[in-house]
Formats: sequence, structure tokens, C-alpha cells
Amino acid sequence: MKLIACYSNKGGVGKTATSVNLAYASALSGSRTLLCDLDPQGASGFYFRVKPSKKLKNNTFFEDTKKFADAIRESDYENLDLLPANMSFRDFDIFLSRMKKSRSRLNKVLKPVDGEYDVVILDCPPNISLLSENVFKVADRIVVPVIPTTLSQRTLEQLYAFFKQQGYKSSKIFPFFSMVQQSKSLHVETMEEIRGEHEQVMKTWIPFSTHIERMGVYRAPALTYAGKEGAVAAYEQLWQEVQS
Amino acid sequence: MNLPASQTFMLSAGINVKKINALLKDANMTLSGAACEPPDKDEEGTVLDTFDAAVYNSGALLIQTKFNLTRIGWSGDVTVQAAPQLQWQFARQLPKGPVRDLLLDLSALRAFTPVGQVTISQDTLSLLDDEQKTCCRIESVTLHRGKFIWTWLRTRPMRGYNDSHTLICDILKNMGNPVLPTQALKLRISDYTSKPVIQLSETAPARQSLCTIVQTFLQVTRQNEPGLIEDLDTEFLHQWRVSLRKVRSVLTLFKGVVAAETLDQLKLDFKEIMQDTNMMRDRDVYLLSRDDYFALVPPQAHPGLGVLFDLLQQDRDEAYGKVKAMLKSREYKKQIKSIQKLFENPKALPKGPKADAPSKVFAADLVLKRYKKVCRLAKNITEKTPDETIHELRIQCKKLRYLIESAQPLFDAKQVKKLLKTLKGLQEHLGSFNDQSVQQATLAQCLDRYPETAPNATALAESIGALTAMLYRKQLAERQMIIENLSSFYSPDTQEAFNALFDLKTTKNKQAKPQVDSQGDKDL
Repeated sequence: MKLIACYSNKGGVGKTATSVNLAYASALSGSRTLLCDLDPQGASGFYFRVKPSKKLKNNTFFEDTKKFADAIRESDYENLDLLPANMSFRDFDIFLSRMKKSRSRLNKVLKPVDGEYDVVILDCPPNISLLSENVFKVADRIVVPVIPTTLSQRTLEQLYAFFKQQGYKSSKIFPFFSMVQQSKSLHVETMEEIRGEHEQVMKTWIPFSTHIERMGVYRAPALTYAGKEGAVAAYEQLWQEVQS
Repeated sequence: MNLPASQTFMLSAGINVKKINALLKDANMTLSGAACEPPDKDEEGTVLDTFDAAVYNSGALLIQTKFNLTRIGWSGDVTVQAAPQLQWQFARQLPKGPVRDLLLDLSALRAFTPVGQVTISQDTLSLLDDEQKTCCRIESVTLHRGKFIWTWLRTRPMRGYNDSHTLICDILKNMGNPVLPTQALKLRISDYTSKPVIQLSETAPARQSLCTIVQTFLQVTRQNEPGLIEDLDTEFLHQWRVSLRKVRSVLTLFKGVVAAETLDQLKLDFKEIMQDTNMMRDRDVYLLSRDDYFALVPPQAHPGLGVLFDLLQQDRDEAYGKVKAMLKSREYKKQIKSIQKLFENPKALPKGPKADAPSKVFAADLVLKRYKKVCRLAKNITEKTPDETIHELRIQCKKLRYLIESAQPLFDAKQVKKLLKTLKGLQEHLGSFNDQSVQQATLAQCLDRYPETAPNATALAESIGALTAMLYRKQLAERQMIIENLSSFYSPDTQEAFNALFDLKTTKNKQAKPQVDSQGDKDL
């Protein structure tokens, strides 16, 4: 089972759109895929029309493996299941801080579904927290969407610094450019600058696209309704690159 | 993963989506799909099955439309492959695909013929919640036959939506009692079986039981006549012959039940009726194994083998002509009807000295004696035993099998089945051994019949030589298998099982019966 986290400590960079479309691309390629929504806003679930999980409240996420497995919902797409979030996920850090080995609990949570899925994609909330540290520890790869702007560049540097400081493997970090507007010289220049500084920046980048924005209207992965549009098709390419 | 099992529903009407949606209203759910809309012309199909309704009896319907060949297993799945471009009758003639595989397993030798015309519409319905999320899928197949409708539904539960599955199952359950397609569509599916259930009474006189058995087998014979005349598949002849052989065997094996002169006349009748069919069946066996024969010899012998099979086909065609004429003749009809009539009234059947013996005791005694006879022969079989002795063993085993099968209703079905299994295992090898022996002889005859100067004579001779060598090798291997199977057949366990079932006197007295050992036992 491969664990891919979609993470950024900055909000609004396209994490959920990426998680949803990568999960769909993964399922489409034949891998049994679980998209695990860790963000209390529950946007991944919204895009798949899956209601928030009622029973997975408080510390049950970390402590009740049966309830965790029961909360998984089959999506409308073959090979793709979803673990929807709920508002109680915002208190994850409180529960984690009370637990032993609070930085490796996520590993234990995912163990029961190990044989059921080939790929698990984690849609992470935008912060550096105990939960994020669990993700950093357990994920095989961390895909980081970066809008090529100064602020995003700054948060990426903060992430690298945090990894270094805490002793996490920064080789897990795979940044890619998201919501790129090539007409903006700032975007082009920033992309060049970041690529110069970090070797692992992925080749594929996702252009800014209204088709992706419309996911909220269609409530489905953009690949299902606009897969032929260049910006959307880029997600499939991105998935190929993430896997390689 | 805690996923509920799929449920199947069969209705004698279309699925009423409107009605279901009214029932789903309180749960804020809807059922969506185009099921049960009038099917268009392209979906007209033919229900196909074999003479013994192999598909239907396996719990399925086979439907061929312009585009698809579909197998609907009503407690399982729908399997589809593209409809073949060419006309087909046998599973082996179909292009490779999942339906072909299923049909080959089900009935490799029988012809699939039309049972009725239907129109078919297939759909997948979705049970949606108020967010329009699919919570359960329902596969549906609706068949129309005139004004009759049959709908098959199978739920596809989805992970995390067990409650939705339960909800829709409860609704569908209340839509009506399960109805099989024959009922709903008034389809006439054949009820033919080559192994009809025979009801016998343990205490009834042997003559009465014999009549019941003979009548039942003769019915099987008669049922196979139309298909044999039409030459639909090779099984008609095979089962026609087997049923007559069973009658003949039972009459002989139930020694002393029928008056000797009646029995002699019947034996003559059967010989006369069956003689024309020997050649046809023999050639059928060859032609059915055509591919196996080609695989047995090297490619350079294939042209010669082609000549051989042309000869065999000619023989078969001629033999079929004779059999067909015989079956259609007034003489045959008169003869077979008079035999049937003879067994209609047990009291009118000329009786022998054992006619009034109670059936169970009588049959048990016969089986046990026959088994012991087989054991006596079996224990002396070695690698050096002459072929004739092995043939004799084969014949005795066959008699034993017919005897047990005929008397089966009088004994514990489970126990009989177990013993028959051991016997069948041995018989398979004995049968192959015999086939290979007969085939070698037939090949030699073919060679003699073909003029040396005719074209391909050399090729034919070479291929026959190669084939004979291979058959001889296979026969030797089969002999070894017979010896291996024999030991289990007269093992103490099998003997004990035979005694327990058929040695009624000892079983009654609860005394242990001495066993036959491989060194021989004069009591046998």
C-alpha cells in the first residue's frame, strides 16, 4: 500500500482538487484507492457527494479501527473509496497530544485497511500540527501544490526548514506548481527560481482553470467531466509522475 | 470489509420505478434508471437450451440477440460475450469468451436449440441519496414475451451504505414472490433427464420393481428418438443406446424374475433394434475426439489422418442413414411399443421363479453377488493379465453399475453414491482401455478397406501406424491406472461399505462380515 499525502501549510493552493483528481486517476489506472479526507472542512467528501461521517467522532478516528473501517464509503467510481471528514477532525491535535506515540498514530490507524488498497491518498489540512507530523512520518511521498507566488514560495521554504529541524526526510517532498497563469511574469519567474533551488519539483504543472473551479458545481473529479481539457488532463500526467 | 451480500429478485412484471420512488420518499432517496422502457427491435433474442435443459437446470437462461450472447444466472451473475457471426449449435463452435467457457463446462456435447423468442432490456439502476450520491446499484434484466414479463434484479451493495441496501431490498422483497422465467414467460423448457427418479417399494414383488425400472428407461429411449432422427447431437443416440442397454441388463441381471422364454425373445428384440446403431456410435466416438487424435501424432501424419477421418465420417453418415430409416420404420415402432406394453402391467408379464421375491432383499443379494464376482476377477489382475480378462472385468463392472443404479431407490442414496463413485473411477480407466483396444482394431480395418493404389494410401498407412503406436502406449498406461484403482475398489473399506449396504442378513443380525483379502477367499 502506497501512501501519498497531498499537503501544503498554505490554504487555497488546490490541495483538495489535487487529492480528488489524483485519487480518481489512480483508481482509473486500476489501483484500489482510498482517499482519506483529513481536513475538517470535508471538501473532498463534498466533491464526491459523500456526507460527513457521523460515527467517526472525537478520538474514534485514532482508537477504534472498526469504526474507522466502517466510515469508509464507496464512491460512484470503480476502485475508489473515500473516508469522509467531519468537523470533529479539527480537534485531532488535542486527541493526539493525549496519546502515546502521538507522532506515529496515523500508521496504526491505516494498518487495518493495508491489504484492501494499493494506494491511499491523504488530503491534509493546511497547517503544521501533530497530525501533519504524523503525515510526514508515515507518507511515502508528500505532494505539495505551490502557486508560483512569493507567499507560496515562502511557505515551501518553511516546510523544508521544518523537515530539516525535526529530522524528517525532505526527500519525500515533491512540490508541483498549481493554478499557474503563464500570462503572469511573476508566475514564470517564481517557477524558474523554485526549480533552481529544489531538484524534486515535478515537471508537470497544473494551469489555472475554470474547469477545475467548476468541480464544486459538478461535485465530481474534473477528470470525469473535462478530462480532455489540457489543465485537467495534467492531473493524470501528474499522477504518472507521482508514481514514477 | 463488512459488505452485505448481493440479493436477487425475480418479478413477473417490470420494475415499477415510480412506485418504488414513492416508497423511498421518506428516506429522501430516489431510484434512477431507464429500466423497463419498451425495448427496441435490436434487443430481440432467442432463448437457447439443450434437450436436457442444461442451462435452465443450472439456474440460468441463455439468450442470443443480434449483438450479444447472454447467460443470466438468476442466483448469480449476468455473463455476456459478443454474439457469434456464424450459426452455431455446440459450445465448442463459439468464439472464445466467458459464455463459451460456461457452456462448455455445462454441456460440451449437446446442441443448443431455440426454446422461445423474447425481447431483452438491460439496465443498471442507481439508488441515490439527497446529495445524488449513489448508495446502491441494481442490475436489471427484463424479458418480454408477448404480454408476459419477467424481471431479474440483482443488488450491488456499496461499501459504507449497508442501510441503503437493506432499505431497497425490503422494498423489492415486497414487490412480489420470486417467479422463475418459465412461469412468468410461459416458456416451455424440456423436463427430459437421462436419469429419471425411480420410485420403488422395498417390499413390492421383484417383478413389479422390474417393470417400473424398465418402463422408466424405455421412456428415456422413446424421448431420444426425435432428436436422433433429426441428428441434432450425438447424445441422442448415446442415451437411446444406454437406456436400452440398461433395460437389457436389468432384465438379465434380475435373474429369474421374467420367464426364460420371454427373456430370450426380448434379448433377440434388443439385439435386432440396436445392431444398426453400433457402427454409428463407434464412429461418433472417433469423430468427437478428432482434435485429440490429431494432437496425438506428429504434424507430418496429419494429412493421412485427414483421409482416415473422411473415411470415418462416410461410415458415420451411412450408419446414420440406416439408423434413421430403422427408427422411422413401422416395424421398429411396433416392436418398441409392444415391449413397452409388456411392462405396463406387472401381473401380465410372464413370470419366472423369483418374480415374487421382495424387491430390496432380492436386489441386495444380486448386488452383493455381483460385487464379489468383480472382486474375484479384480484380485487376479496384474501387469501381465491378458487383455481379455480386463475386458471381462469391464463388462462385470458395467453390470454391477447398472444393477446398483437400477436398485438405487431401495437403498440409502448417500451411501450408494459413495460406492458408485469408486466404481465410476475404475470404470473410466476400464472404458479407456477398451476404447483404445477397439480403436486399434478399427484402424487396422480402415487400412484394409482402403485400396493400396488409391491416392494418399501411403499417407493413410503412415498416420494409422503412428496413431496405433500412440494408442498402444496409452493403453499400457491405462492398464497401470486400472491396477492402481482396483486396489481401492476391493479394499477392506469398500468391501465393508458394500456389506453394510447390501448384506441385509448380516446387517440385520449386526454381525461382522468376514472381508475379502487380496490373497483370495473361497467364500466369494
